[in-house]
Amino acid sequence: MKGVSITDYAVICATGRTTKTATDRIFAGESGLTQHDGRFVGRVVEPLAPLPDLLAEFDTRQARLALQTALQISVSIKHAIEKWGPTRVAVLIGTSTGGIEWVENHYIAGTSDTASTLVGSAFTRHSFGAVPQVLQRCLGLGGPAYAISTACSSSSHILGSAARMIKGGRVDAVLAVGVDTLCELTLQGFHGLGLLAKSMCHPFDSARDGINIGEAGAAILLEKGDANAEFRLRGFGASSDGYHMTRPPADGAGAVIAMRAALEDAGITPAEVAGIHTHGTGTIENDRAESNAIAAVFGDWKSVVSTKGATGHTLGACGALNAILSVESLKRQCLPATVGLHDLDPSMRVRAEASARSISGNFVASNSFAFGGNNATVIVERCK
Amino acid sequence: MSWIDCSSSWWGSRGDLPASTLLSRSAARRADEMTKYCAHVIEELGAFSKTVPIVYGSCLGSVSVVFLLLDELSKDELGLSPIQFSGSVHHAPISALGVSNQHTGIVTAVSANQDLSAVVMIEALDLAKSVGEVLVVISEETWPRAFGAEPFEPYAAALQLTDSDPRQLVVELSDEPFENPLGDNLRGNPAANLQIIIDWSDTASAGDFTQFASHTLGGSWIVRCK
Repeated sequence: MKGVSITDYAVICATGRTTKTATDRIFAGESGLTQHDGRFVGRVVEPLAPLPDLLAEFDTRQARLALQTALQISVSIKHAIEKWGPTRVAVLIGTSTGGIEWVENHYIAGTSDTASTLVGSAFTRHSFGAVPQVLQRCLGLGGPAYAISTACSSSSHILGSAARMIKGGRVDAVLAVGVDTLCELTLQGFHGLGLLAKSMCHPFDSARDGINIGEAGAAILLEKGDANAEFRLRGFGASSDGYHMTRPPADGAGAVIAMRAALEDAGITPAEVAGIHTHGTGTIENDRAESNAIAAVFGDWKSVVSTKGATGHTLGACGALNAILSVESLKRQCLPATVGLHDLDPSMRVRAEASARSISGNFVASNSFAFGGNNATVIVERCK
Repeated sequence: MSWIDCSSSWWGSRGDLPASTLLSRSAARRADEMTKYCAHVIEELGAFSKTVPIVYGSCLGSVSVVFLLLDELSKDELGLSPIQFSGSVHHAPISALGVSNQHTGIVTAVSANQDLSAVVMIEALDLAKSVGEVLVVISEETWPRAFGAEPFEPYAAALQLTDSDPRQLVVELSDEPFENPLGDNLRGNPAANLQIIIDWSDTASAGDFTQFASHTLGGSWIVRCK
């Protein structure tokens, strides 16, 4: 049996506080982007409950978002623990920012070298390793718990790592959670790069001018292959561009390597992939490189979608979010609209559309690309 | 089946680092300390393969760059420095080296707290099962004093996992509490626990094991030679 089973999944993002609401709105072509301080962002507007008192030292918006997302599938997680035993269930977090949002709200500029100016368990809140510990303790998971942080490809990588862990026999189940929250450092960083869109983003459009940053939690429970599984994580591939820290090569050569590796891992042909949930950030260079890379691997006019106009670019969460939307595409046999697309850039070699369209097939691919030229592709399968 | 084929490590009291040929002149000018640490330990291993899969590990990454950006946030409304911003992401040190050397292989970057060295090895050993050879790089710089943590020296190490040795490295949990053998200068550095594995692996034979890190839920991580 190829791949590992996708037992359950959950999302909280700008389009909704529950998986059903969030995904239904995305497939209805709605956007969750709203304007804050003159910028369009994908903010989770509903309140997020604080962590239990015993874990107060870890309490950040990021930890809350991760826990609330995972709790949506707590019944499935409990079943996995009962089935495999707590030490056979790992938790992997994909994040770009860690708890930096908490630190930037408590740090006094110019005091980094002054002892203990950041009070209130600043280290535990800042560290990438905090959220894995929170989920481990709150959900009773005893397997390995850690974070992978490769910026915007982080939570695609955790899916690859989870599959290796399960196939290699280290554990039988992995809770893989992509999570990132909005913070000023990220917004100002992308602003400095000149990559923020002036209004709502327009992926693959002639008038595209940049990204909208978003936040999300996206949790996927993966388990050892089950003949009755409805969906599987079928393939994973990753690569580096070896080109530039923040720009992809125009031909998307690194992305080509990642997509081909994922197809090889899945053991399928490009023609068997019914559609692609792209990274599709809406920057001039990303969309051009991704379009060229997809054309090189799949041929011209492959059906693709970008959902960044619905959710914003959720950074470290976007790989897992994209993977979940890929499963939803298989379930609904539909690619949602590319929100924000009005006039397809004639130089694009992919078929992105402003409205939803039906697909027919059992495989959908999902791309995510990151700073440092870090590329990852995931392929999910509908089994029945 | 994976074992440590070769390794290299450096920590603060070993003195200044020589310039690395793995960084181009312009990259060396831009490189932060963590990137220089990584360049040094990788270079000591020998030729840097353009396709070798890499597992990078750090607890906080280039945290000094993050705090530079936090200082900038309060005074500049024109956005942050693109070089510093891209240098603040967790995998920036290893990516900067990858860009300088046209590396196209898989790069993953792990983070954890006190069991950082254990989960880096878990990630690397699991990856090695599917690809055979993996370059492991770990680094941690001194944290800002604002955190109030016990100070420690910066530490970096690189090791090559291969399947050419009949010995097999296994990372497991133990109920025994961890007794940290590292000196005061490295004890608080979560990356430095990898040095315990490196030192032990030189002479380990089948059946040998040693503790090397504490586990977040209690007990310790051990490494075993099979």
